[in-house]
Amino acid sequence: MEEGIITAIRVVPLDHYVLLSFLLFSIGAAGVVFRRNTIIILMCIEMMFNSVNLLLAAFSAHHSDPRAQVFVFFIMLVAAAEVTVGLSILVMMKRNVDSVDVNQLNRLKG
Amino acid sequence: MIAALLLLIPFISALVLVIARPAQARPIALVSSLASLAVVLYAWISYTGGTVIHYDLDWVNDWGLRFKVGYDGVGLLMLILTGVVFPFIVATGYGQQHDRPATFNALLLFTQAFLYGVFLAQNALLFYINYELTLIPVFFILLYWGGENRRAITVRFFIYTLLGGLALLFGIVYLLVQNGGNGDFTALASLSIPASTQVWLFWALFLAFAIKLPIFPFHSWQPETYYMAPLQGTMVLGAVLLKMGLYGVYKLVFPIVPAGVEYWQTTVIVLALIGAVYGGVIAFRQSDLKRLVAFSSLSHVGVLCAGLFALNAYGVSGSFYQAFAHAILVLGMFYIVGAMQERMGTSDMSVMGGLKGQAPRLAALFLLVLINAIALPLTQSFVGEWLMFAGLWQVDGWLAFFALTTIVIGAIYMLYAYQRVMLGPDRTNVTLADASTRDHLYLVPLIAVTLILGVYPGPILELLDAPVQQLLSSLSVH
Amino acid sequence: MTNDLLAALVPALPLVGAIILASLRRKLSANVAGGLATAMIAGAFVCSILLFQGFDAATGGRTVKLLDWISIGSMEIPLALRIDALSLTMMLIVTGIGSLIHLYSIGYMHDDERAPTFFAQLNLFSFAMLMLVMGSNFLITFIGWEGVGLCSYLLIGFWYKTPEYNYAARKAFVMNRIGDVGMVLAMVLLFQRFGTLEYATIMNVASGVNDPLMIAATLFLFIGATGKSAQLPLFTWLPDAMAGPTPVSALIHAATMVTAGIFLIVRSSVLFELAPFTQDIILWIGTATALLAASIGLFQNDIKKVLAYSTVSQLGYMFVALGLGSYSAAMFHVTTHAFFKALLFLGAGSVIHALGGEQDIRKMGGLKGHIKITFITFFIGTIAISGLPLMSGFFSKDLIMAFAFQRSPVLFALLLIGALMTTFYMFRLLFLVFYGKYRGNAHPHESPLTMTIPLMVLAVLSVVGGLLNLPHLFGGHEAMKHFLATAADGIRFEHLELSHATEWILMGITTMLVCVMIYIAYGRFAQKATLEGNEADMPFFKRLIAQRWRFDELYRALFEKPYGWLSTNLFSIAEQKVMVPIMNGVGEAAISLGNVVRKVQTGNASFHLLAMLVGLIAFLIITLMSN
Repeated sequence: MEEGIITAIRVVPLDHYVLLSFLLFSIGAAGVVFRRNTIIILMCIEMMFNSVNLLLAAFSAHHSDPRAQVFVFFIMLVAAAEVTVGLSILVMMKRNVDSVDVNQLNRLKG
Repeated sequence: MIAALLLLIPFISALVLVIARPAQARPIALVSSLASLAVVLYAWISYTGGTVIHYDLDWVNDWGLRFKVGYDGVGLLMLILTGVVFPFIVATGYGQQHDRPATFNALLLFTQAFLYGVFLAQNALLFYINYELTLIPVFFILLYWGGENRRAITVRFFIYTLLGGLALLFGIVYLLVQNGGNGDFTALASLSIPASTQVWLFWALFLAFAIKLPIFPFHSWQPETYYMAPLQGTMVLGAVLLKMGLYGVYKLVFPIVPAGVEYWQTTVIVLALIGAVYGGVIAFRQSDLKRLVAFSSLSHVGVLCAGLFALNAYGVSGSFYQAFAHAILVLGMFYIVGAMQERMGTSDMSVMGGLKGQAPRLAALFLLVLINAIALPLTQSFVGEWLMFAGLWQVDGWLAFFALTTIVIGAIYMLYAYQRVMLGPDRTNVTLADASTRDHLYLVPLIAVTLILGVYPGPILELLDAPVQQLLSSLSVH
Repeated sequence: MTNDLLAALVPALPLVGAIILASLRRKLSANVAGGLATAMIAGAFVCSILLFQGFDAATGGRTVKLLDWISIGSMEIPLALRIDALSLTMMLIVTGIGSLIHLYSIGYMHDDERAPTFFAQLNLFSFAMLMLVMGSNFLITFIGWEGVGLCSYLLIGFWYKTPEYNYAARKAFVMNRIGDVGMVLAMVLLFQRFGTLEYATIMNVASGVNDPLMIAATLFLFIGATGKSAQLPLFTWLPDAMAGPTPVSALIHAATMVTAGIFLIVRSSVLFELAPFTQDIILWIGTATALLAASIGLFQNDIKKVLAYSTVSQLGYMFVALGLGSYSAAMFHVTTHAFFKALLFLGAGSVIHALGGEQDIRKMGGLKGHIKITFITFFIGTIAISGLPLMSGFFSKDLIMAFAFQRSPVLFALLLIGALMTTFYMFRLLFLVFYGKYRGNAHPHESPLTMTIPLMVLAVLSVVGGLLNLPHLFGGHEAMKHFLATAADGIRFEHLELSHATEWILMGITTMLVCVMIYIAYGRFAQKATLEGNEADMPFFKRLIAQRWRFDELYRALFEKPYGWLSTNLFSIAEQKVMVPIMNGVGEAAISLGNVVRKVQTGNASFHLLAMLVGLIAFLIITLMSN
């Protein structure tokens, strides 16, 4: 990473990053739990991933340790795979129950 | 190598069967089971005594799970039993019309693989995992190929045996915690547990085996399940699955909770003998041949368990010898049941009678199987029963006496059953086929094994002698 | 070495015969099968004779080990044969009489389509019986013991289409099995006590041992013997066993198998000498059986049933001898009884054969003109069993009576009554069958030579059999006793100390009374053939005896019915109403627990996600707190 970017990241104190990603993560989690539309749930999951990524990048820069950034790439990769699966489930769901409401999927009710 | 082959041959064949065509299913299964029999026999020939450990690999060490496999003489006998029994069970399929034979045979082979796992395991957790895994293929066999009322009975069987398994798991976990996470049998055996703990721990460990065997009063699942199960399923249950209970007691109960065993010894023997008499008396008036054989098996197993708990050289080795004999007997008996079902369309004896006139060869074969059931000398069962009686006598004369009443009770119900099926005036109005070449190919080897091992039991007694002596001497140290 | 081979051949020949015949039973004709079977057993007889000739009684005996059978830990039970005076005696009886009966069967079973099966089973029986008498330890004897039980079962139920025959067969097997419980108990006890089951070792060690356990061991052995030798209370199977073909009755249920109990006790005579209590029990059971069975014999109308009860009664005499500790007398009576009872049964078979299957003596009569050889031989058998002077039965029975007198005159009197009853029913049988007018409607014809030759041989033996153990009184020197004494140690304890005068007097009394009985029987049955009418018309006591003291009914009410009831109800009540519901209860408890817990599984994805989140947070908090 270029020296300049790292310095730029370091300008903002670490606390702020933590706070921001906490907020982003919480919004994502709340979205996943409370929204019924599956598309939105998927997007919220994406948001949670990205909040974690942000945090990892920030810590990486502040501690001058590139290992965390490797994780970021891993997470992005997994997220891509996850979206693929998630969207295909979504398509199947739309076809089968003609809805994207997640509460329609309640066959596991005991 | 032997252990790997034993575990892999049935497992891989089962996987192959999943994609095989129905017509190929039985030949593949038969070849696979014969191949593993060959491996077992090779293991027997090359066995020179002691405990052979084939692999001792790390697995999930933190939980005390190691892939430690091998066998001693008793374990080898159980492996031989599994190896011998499965070709017969698979071969029985040639007389049966099955829906989806490939899946069925695959399930059989999975069972065999897990059984080998049970008898090879030298680690308590590995033993437990395989022990419970055997239940899964059997569950599906019963559920999909069973007879009338199969759903309720299968679920009941499953829950009931699982309940015992739960207690066993609890016991094993307790032992692991006590032993700092080392689950090898040898390590557990050297654990010294206070006698008061052993008294309850005994039941935690033994309950699963008591249900699996089963002994009175945990037996009620057995007659119904045997009756409802498809023929091969019954054979698996009766010939090998229940022997896991016996082996489990030998491996996991005797060495680990000797004080608990001593405390409960008489209770267990009495319960087992009550079951033996109870099953035998009930068998007398059963009108269905299959149910009769189920109750007779209950009776035999009662004596088997009593002999095991005599906890002396004759009782324990007699019990394991008899376990082998009983497996051969169960195969023969249920094959006869199957042969009758095939011909009469039912196993209800009230529509049979006088079949000997039409099927003299079948009657002769039935009789030859039957003499093993009533433990006539020079059959395999006699050797086992004699040793068990001698062992029980050393514990208490009365126990030996009650065990001996089963030889009278057994003669009563077996000969009565034979009479109802084969003797008397011909009461059927069907034309009956006599024993076919297939029947002979199946039953004659069984009868030959029975007689040969009845006259010359040496090779098997040799296997049992050393490990049983070792077990007993380690117990007397405690 | 050659002798070892010979010894092994004796049981092996009939076994091979049985296997060959059983596997080729559908391909062989009756005559070929019979010939083969007879050849096998005759071969065994020849081997036995050769062994006997080469046997030196002074050596005591030899053990021929064939292979290790059950050996584990400190238990060593080899498959071994013992050749000594006792086993040789029994071998000669079994193979000798066996050969004659096999030969006889060729004629008797000529028309039966399952004759090869019959001969296979007969050969198998011979094998088992030979194992029984030749075994060098208790467990080998037990092989034969159970083996003869199986063969007896098979042969009683040989004509399997008749349900009563099958019932009789099962009854015989089960009653024998009850005795076997005693036998096994005795074996485990002796094994525990002596650490071996070898006769030679046990008898060596045991002599001089004073141990209350011996009473238990001998009582158990005796229970085994009562089952096999049809003594009270286990005797009711033997008369029913007459359902089998007549040669079977002769071989198994008269000459050989039923004497197994006596053999066993003689074999272990040392133990019995240590347990006087058991000896007394044997004595009284034997006496009771002898009298009871003889009394039943008085009113039987089936020719084979009369002989069957006679057998039970004679076995009672043998047990009396055992109870008195005179083992050689028992063995002597076993031998002579084998001769004349086999003769009588085969004679009866010949009569039945002549009349086309008729067994009711009320429908016979006047046959002496039609079937002369049968008549003469049967007559010899009758006087032999009645103990007319110089016949074989005279010597053997008299020896037992003399021992009885030595113990107590009352016992002698009881046995005398039994002997008189024996004479009476035997002559009643003889007269009703062969004298007077023919009362049936068949066409009697003499049997073929294969049947009459055995009759003649046995008749000769029945006459001269007494010479085997001729007492000093008649110039003999009790050869059999001295021979057997080398094998069965108990015989050394026998002492007959009656003066010659007393013996002469006893013999005189017995003979005189026997002659009186014959005269009475002649008057009642030969001259006018008094036939018993309907049982219902008889006076109470007579009816009770004619109905066999109602033992069968008693056992049916006491054991068979309750057992059936128990079997039915254990299943329908204990199992189905108690045990199964308990198990179902366990299952249902699991299911209802599940019903409570399943509420958590709403199936609502959002709810599950929320639960997951809460769980995660909870774990996080716990982890942070614990740090």
